[in-house]
Amino acid sequence: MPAIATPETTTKDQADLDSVWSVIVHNDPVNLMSYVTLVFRRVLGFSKEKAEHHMLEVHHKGRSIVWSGVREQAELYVQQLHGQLLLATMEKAPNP
Amino acid sequence: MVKVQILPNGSMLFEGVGDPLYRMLCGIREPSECGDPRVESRFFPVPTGEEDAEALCEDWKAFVQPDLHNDFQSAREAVSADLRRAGKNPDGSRSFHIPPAHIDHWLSALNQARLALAELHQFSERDMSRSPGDIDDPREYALMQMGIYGTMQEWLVGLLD
Repeated sequence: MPAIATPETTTKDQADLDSVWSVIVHNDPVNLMSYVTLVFRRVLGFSKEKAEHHMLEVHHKGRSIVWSGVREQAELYVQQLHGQLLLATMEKAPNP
Repeated sequence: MVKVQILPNGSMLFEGVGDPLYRMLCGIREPSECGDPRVESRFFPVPTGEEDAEALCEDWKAFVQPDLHNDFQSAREAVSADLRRAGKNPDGSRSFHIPPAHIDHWLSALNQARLALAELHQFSERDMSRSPGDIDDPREYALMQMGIYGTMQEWLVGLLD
């Protein structure tokens, strides 16, 4: 009888789960400004004004923090932003 | 001269598409499907730069990237299908529709192609703001492709806005 493999499981570290994570969008000279604005509105639910503000921040400063909160949601947003081919990462926000 | 119309059902109708433009549109998949590692890295970036997030990056590679890969491929296939349905007019030009359900696929495929071309030809911001030169030069042709795909993307974004 073949041995049954024990599934490998990993548990997210409690400290990770408790941390606040930021979703950051990085500048990319190829993505059109109008397209980035549209993606912010659709993925993050921003108003047109807020989306344009963050798009311009990315353009001028090289990056913009577009969302902060729990890790699971940050992962979801980064996945959706990658799906739209934006350069996005998630980082642990510094402790207050 | 290409004419673009938005029909009452929300689809976009492109008319008067000449052979050079049609060929260029049909080539939309090539840069994204060339298998170049620079293109792969751009399409599938790491989700975090955190030093202690190796597990997250591994999970990402195993579970998220395959889904993204499929989504990108589906978008390119939808675009190819719309182009295959293009009708040829008596003057030799072609007309094709982008149905509303395919607009997001077109946006994705155009964006993929532009990002891939920029990686493959290492275009700088300065390159992207100049007019292409001799289009017999593959790099200059690619620059023209980027410009035309970008214009189409702008139309589509305007439609969704």
